[in-house]
Amino acid sequence: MDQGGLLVKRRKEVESMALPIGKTPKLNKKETVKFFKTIVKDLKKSTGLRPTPKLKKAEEEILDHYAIQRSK
Amino acid sequence: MLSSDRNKIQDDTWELRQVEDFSEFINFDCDDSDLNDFIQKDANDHAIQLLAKTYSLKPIAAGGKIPPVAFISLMNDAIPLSETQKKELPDKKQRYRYYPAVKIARLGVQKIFQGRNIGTHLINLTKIIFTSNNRTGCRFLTVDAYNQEKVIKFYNKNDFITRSVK
Repeated sequence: MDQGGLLVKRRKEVESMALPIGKTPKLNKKETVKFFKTIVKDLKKSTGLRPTPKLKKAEEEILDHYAIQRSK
Repeated sequence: MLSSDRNKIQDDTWELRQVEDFSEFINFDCDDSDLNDFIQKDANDHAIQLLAKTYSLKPIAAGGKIPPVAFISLMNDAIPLSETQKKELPDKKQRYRYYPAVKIARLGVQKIFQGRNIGTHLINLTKIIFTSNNRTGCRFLTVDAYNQEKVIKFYNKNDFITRSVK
């Protein structure tokens, strides 16, 4: 394959790949101070889990969708 | 009741397990071509190269007989900080310029099961993994999210703070 062909092949490969994952931005001075205050304040707080009220019904829908028999 | 080993975590109903066979995602559709491409073509390579590990979520009652309902790919990250003056800090000392974090590289829920708190549960289980069975130390989750209103709303609802990249 000539160089032009290789470039086209490489471009197609890159285009077919998922987007790259972006880097985490640096916090500015004000955000850094706030960050430190928060981590000191929250150190003894338990991990904040969010409520999931629709989850039980979701499980039922999924099992129904795949025709899986639920155990009683 | 929670149980976990190094590669999986379960609550009473759901199991989050590290993916070993990516062929189970062959028909996965989360209504986003980039996410579908990632899980079907790139995630396995990321796992082999130790760039990111992917976990799949399924109801335990399905007994492994169904394809994954959702996935999350995780990689190591750090939150870079600016230099500050000691007097500005709560305990008068800034220990590090970078704080360890885990980045959500990709997260996708099957299109037909979206809007049912499955993504939130995925994040809840991820929070538990990294705060209860972590071999190193990590208190923070980061994400490079799409700049789309519904995506940002989802992450804000899950306690993420928005920070745009300039």
